[in-house]
Amino acid sequence: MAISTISVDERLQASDTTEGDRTRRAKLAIVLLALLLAATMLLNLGSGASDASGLVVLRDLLGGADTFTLRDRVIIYDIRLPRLLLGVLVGAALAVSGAVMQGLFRNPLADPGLVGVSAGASLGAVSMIVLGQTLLTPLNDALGSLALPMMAFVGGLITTFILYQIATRHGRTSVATMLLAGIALAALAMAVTGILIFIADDRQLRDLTFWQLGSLAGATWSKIYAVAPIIISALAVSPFIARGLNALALGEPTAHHMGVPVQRLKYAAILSVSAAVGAAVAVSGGIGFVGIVVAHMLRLAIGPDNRYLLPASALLGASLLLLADAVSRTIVAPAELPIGIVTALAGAPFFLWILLRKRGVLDL
Amino acid sequence: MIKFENVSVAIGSKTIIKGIGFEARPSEITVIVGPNGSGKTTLMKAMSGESAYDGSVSINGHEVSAARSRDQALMRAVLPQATTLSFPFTVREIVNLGILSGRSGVSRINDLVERALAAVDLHGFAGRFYQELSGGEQQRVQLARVLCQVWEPVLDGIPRYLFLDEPVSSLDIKHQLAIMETARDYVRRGGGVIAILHDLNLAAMYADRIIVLARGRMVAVGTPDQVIRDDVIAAAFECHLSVGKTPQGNAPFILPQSFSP
Repeated sequence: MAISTISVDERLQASDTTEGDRTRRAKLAIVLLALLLAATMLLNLGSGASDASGLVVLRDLLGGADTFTLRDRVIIYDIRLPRLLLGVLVGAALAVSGAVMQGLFRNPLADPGLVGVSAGASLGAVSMIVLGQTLLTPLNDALGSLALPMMAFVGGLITTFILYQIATRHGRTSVATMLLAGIALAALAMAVTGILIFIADDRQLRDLTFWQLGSLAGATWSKIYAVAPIIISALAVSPFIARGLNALALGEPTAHHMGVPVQRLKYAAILSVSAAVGAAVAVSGGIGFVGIVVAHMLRLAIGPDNRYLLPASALLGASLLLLADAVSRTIVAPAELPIGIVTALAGAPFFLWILLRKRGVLDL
Repeated sequence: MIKFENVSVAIGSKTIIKGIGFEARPSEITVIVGPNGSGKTTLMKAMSGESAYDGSVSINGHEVSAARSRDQALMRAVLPQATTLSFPFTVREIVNLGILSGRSGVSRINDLVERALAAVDLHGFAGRFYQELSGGEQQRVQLARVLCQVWEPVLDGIPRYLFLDEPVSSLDIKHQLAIMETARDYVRRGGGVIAILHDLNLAAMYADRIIVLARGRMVAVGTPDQVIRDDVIAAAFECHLSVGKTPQGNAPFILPQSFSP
């Protein structure tokens, strides 16, 4: 091309092939985040009503020192460990779902809470709490302790399905319609939830409040067994949609031009998000802002490439939720502040900060 | 070869293009011209697999509406009129998105991003943030991405194509020429280019064949000498133009005369 006297080859020789390439930084970040998660896990294992430190617990787990009393053993294996694992699962599920939704909606402020998935899951759970002894008794009897998680999960899926039906015409999903329909569906789900709260008795009201504020306190092994397969398989989808989500950042037509099966990509993203969020809400209630905060911090650090953003989100989301859980357990000890309050107190100002920073840049 | 046979596209009850039929060959630059709203972009959307159509549109014998996104992407790359970006990618990351991953037909050239950036005169821009560039620079970054997707004009003996929708609309004159030279180089090496242009002089200079659209129909097709004529252009664009020859005498050029035909 005759636009310069220097040949292309000469210029290529002088070029720096790493300029603007953030993959090395992203890989390093993932290693560091894995270490951070290991550290927070140890910290969480060792903090609480028993004196057993994280390292001692670890040694015991690996079959070493046998210095535990029975009380310690119960605390560690029946309370702390399931709670720890639940925190990791829920934190990873919420953070990755947030990042995937943001990629799907091409908007850094999107969140499962925004499109009604969380509200639908809440409605499912609340109807179980309020109607479990009356209308839904057969379900309660049949599923036992799984009844609540199942109802939340089903609530999330139904909302997502309706949302998808409304927003999709002629095989194309309109993101704007989806956001608006999500707001309407969330309002509807919250109104029905309101009716249920209105007819609830005092004991149920206490359960409801606690659950709605979000908590990892009810962690049991049976809950882990119920949600781990759902969350892990939902997270396992993310490596397959990461490249497609990157292309989607340039718009749906361009993603199609680049060979991405856009409709299938959207379907996979929506399904995995609703499964992960439904499962997370079912066992931990309304824990907000994890998705927005984690993905935003990571984009600033390693860039928006979803191939690295999604795994990094899983690691950082799990770590942050464990830290929030440690705060919630210790800040008003021996009582416990619901973790949803901790994440909202930290996350809502962060959300506003993003809005202020992006004012005039974002089309909302 | 790209082949349109009796193609119509309707959006709702409104017919946008009707009865379009032409062939665009490899080793040729085919330019589509026409007034605003004449259906140029709709025509490009039909061949990009973006909008449904009646009739038949095929690329190298594959019907577009029946081909998977991935297979279409191996045969052609598309530069849209405008591209929005929702997250802060660097120039390198954007161009890199154009390189298809995985199976056959994927370019394995190591410094492809550098080569593509050099081809659009953006050498040294790899580290910049896309959103901080000017409109013309962004347009050229997108073109570099598009070039990466079909870098080899002929793959396994099968020609590939560049679809360019107003590729030079926001560029200065130097880069208009640079981009058109890149297109010419692409067809010289056996690929095909189909471009929508508003600048009739640029079309006359670079096109091997020109298709004139007006009110959704093809009103003329042929070489620049056959198509760039007072009567054809005046009828299509509904204004008065006078057509002369460049001093070198190798291409017609158009001088606007008056608004009323």
